[in-house]
Amino acid sequence: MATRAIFTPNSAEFPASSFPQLLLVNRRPVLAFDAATDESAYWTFVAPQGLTGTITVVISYIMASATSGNVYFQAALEAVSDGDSTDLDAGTSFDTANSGNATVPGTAGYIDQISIPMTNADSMAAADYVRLSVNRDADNGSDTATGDCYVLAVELRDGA
Amino acid sequence: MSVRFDASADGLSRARLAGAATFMGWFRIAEDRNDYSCFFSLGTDALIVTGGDGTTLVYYHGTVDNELQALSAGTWYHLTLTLTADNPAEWVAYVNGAQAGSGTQNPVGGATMYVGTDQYGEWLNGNAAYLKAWNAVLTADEIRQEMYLARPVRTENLHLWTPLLAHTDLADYGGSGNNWTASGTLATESGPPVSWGGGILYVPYAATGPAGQNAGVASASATAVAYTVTAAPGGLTRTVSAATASAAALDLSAAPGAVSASVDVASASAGAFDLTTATATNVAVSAAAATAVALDTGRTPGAISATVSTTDASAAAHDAVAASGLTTADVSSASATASAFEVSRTPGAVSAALDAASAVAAALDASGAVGLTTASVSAAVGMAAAYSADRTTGAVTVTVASATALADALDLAAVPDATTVGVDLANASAAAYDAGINVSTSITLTVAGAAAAAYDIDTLTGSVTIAAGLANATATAYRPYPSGGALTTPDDRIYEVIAEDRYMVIAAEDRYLEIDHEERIYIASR
Repeated sequence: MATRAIFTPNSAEFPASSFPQLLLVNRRPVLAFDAATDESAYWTFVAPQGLTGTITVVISYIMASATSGNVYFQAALEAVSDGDSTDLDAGTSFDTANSGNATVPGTAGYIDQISIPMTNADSMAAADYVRLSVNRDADNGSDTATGDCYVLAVELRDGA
Repeated sequence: MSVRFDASADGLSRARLAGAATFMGWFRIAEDRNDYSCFFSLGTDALIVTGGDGTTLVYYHGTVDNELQALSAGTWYHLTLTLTADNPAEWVAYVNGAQAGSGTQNPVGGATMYVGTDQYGEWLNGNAAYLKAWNAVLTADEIRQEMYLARPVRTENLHLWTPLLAHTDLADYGGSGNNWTASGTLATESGPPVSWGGGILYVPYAATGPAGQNAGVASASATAVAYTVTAAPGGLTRTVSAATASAAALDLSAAPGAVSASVDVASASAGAFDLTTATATNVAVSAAAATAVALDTGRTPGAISATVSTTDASAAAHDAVAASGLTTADVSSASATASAFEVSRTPGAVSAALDAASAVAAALDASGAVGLTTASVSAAVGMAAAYSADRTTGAVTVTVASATALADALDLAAVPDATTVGVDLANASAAAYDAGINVSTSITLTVAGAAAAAYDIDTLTGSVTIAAGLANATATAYRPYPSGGALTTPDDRIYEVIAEDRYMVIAAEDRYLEIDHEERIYIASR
């Protein structure tokens, strides 16, 4: 796999409600995803040339306090091609979310990564106008890690 | 994140921003106090505040409350105030980037500006975040641009930038040191849905694959110094096309697949080619002055073809060792010189051909168990110094066709087969012929003025015919039998006619017997 784009907390965009807070943790920008309420963050980009194979979203995170349990995340893509009949000023058209989870590190502050294969990639192709939505599936019964999950970065990889 | 104010003592303060000013931030009423609640104030008479109902947005410019619009508790709003000067001053207020009111106001005074409260203690039960201020009046477009980003877009005249990511972080991120001072007991809470404004990082595309790599260099002056290509399966192509390209070293290690190294250059020179491939390898050098210094092809299967075509080609050394297949060293040149040819093969044919007007075959050592070895020197002045054909089987032909050819020594040791030594010369002289042959030997002399000096023929078997047809020949010893007719001697003796009636029979070189007509015998010395 090859890294094609890197999304940081500072480049995140937010919906009007239910969004993670942008914090500085040890002077590091993070997105703090709540443990009880689903919260989403977006990143907008143009799909780069040369995309090939399966797209994978990799989420790098640390836990604010939890040292046990699991965190569940979902990632979804909204890819709009030239000529698509998608009304961008009236709504959204994300593909079905793809899921991934991980058992949190035994020490709060230790980094871990969750890889989410984007089986549903909304037929993303090079040059598409794309938004990536990442949310913690906090109300998933298997998301058992307590406290905030601090997302440090999100990476988009392709199959090259 | 944001800073929460929830008590009368709570608030932020610092020195007032005097003169032309723009102040903005995100604010939220957490709880309706149903009383005047100040979001921020830029002086004693410049307040962005609610009315007495706690939710109607008002601008107080020192005389009256200018109602702007109704607000809702729990909702984030972006509030902005611009002042042209302290006195006189024109003011404009914006809500969520849209102008909500404007006018002329009293002179702005006071020494302090506040957030979450004012000089009169009209505190806000709510939140503030992403504070930004300029020593200038921003336009409506600039205000809308700043509204959607936590970080400032305009840095000119930036007075302060305080994101308020935490209630303990009151620093001026703009670098001017215009930090806030907190009062009361503040807290950190969730902030508004505003992006920081960072960019997406794209990684340059770099693909690596296990097979099928093409590296092409097309340049008028491209130089390939070193190529190391290691590919497991698949084809591998290296192409260098340049007028002055030179391939210094090509190390091709490919297991299967074809390897093609092609250099098309008018003056290309291949220094060293080390090809170790299991399958066919073609090395073609086409140049007027191409020189193949060393071609070392060591391969087991497949054909090896090394072709050098040039008018001045010289093949210094060709060491072709192939277990099977055909090895051809072909030098075609008007002045080609073959210094040394060593061909060691078990099967197959070996052909060394020299066609030159002045070709000299210095040494031809052909040791072949089978097959035909032909050394053919066709030259008007060809000289064959020594020919030694040692073969178990096969024919050896040595042909010297020249008007002045001299056969100095002919040592023919051929067991079977006919050996033909033909000398057809107008002026041939045979100095010594030692023919030890067991087969018939035919020596024919046909010379108009030739003199046959001495012949010593030792034959074990076969017939010997000496024929001399000479117009002026001198027969040293001819004695026709008195019966006349043809000179025949039934007993192989030689007679000399001394006189008509007397005969001499030569018995030895210095004595003879003479017989007269009455058959009387005389012995005398010559």
